[in-house]
Amino acid sequence: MKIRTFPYFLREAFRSLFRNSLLSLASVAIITIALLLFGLFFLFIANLQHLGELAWEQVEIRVFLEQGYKNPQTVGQQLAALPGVKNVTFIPKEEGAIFLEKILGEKNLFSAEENPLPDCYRLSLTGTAEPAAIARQAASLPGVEEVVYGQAFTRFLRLVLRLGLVVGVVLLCLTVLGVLYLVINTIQLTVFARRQEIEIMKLVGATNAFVRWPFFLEGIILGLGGAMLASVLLTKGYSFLLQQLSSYSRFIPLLSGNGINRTLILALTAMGLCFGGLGSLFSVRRYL
Amino acid sequence: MILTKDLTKIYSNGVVALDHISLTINKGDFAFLVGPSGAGKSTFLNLIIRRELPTSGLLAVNQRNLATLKQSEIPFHRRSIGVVFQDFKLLPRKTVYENVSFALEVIETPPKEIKDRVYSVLELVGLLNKAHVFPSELSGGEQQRVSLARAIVNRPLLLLADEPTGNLDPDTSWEIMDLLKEINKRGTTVVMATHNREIVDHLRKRVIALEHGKLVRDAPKGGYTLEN
Repeated sequence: MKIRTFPYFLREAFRSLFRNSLLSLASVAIITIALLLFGLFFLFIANLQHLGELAWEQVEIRVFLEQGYKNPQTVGQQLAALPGVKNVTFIPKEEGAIFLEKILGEKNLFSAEENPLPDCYRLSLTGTAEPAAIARQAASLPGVEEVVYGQAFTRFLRLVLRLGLVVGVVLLCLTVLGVLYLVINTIQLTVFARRQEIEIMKLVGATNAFVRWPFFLEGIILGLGGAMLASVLLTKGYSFLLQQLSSYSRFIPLLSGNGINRTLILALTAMGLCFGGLGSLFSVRRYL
Repeated sequence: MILTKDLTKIYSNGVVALDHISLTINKGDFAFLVGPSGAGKSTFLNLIIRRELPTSGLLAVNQRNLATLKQSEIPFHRRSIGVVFQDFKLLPRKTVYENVSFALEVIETPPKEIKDRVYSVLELVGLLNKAHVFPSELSGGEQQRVSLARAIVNRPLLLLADEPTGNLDPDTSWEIMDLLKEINKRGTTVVMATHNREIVDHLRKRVIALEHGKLVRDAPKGGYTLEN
């Protein structure tokens, strides 16, 4: 294959797209719809995962120190250094007493000298942290008397999140396969409409690689077109949804910002390009 | 140019399309391939362009044994052969110029050379003034001339024509025959499968007659049927 032939492939790909404009438009529309379905599902799963992580961040660990332990700051530093710990808040026993008084509705429960409550640290965690492991590490630190966290709740939450993730990934994979099937079938239609062209190319002595190239580029352009349209529709649609829900954002904290848009556009573009190109190669192979 | 020895083609359904055919077609020959439908004419042409493989026997074209030709060598073998079909097989969404230049583009001829050669071959077939129209705007005869132009534009050593006048009226058929004679005069070997008795009887070229896959006659200046 000569390099100077490449502009010919590109020209042929574009020429064929324009001359078969109706078929090209229909293909881009179908690819767009397929990628839109994937994108919607992707956003749904990403937000579900995000909500799960937010819930996880609500998990707190309380680390109670030994009565009269002299070096609470050292423990605080060691706790802050543990992986997965986001924030460390020191709650001196005096504050603990005030908190207890509030709960019990009584005043002056203990005098400053008689306060039997221990000093305490409250740890908040990152979305991916494992509370049981952090609790174990915290309990082994010198000066720590007891570590408490909502074991039953975290176990339940962990189960729900893992289940959600597995189901989400499986469904997302199925959607990807569905999109692949749709894209390949669509491109097969465009190749089928031009099987005579392939036959003539072969008869006049074109090599298989030469036959494949224009179709491959055409598939990539169709896939890219579908991906761009789907990206615009999804990002605009999602921004609109976020805008509409902005007043409820405290209760429905959806993923926002450029990060999710970038990931979505990247995923759609990669799928459009790969599936378009692969679809073409797969479809042309039948006629070679 | 073409050499066959005991060439046999049996399809997977058991039909014997060619049965021990032995013949030689020399460079510069003009040969008619005649016989009733199903006699094996198209199979013979398909074997020569290596669309199909012989079941047994020898088939050599341009000193290449087609039975042992590798897949990767087939395109290069086909570049030495031009093919014309009864139904023209033109690409409807390409202009006359593009239909012809296509044959040169796929074999990666330099662009400058493509232009010169396409215009020169369109002049030969008398379609220079229709270079930029689409096939649907042409008559049957004109479409067949485009098909001929595409077949000869890369200067093949051999031209195969499968019923090239089958869809044309008598006058237009003679125009195509005049072109084929002209191409042959310039040194290209021509093998033409036909049912057109008038043309075969009038031109008195070599006639290879097939029936039920067997070679029944090979006459140097024959007619459509055996004459006593």
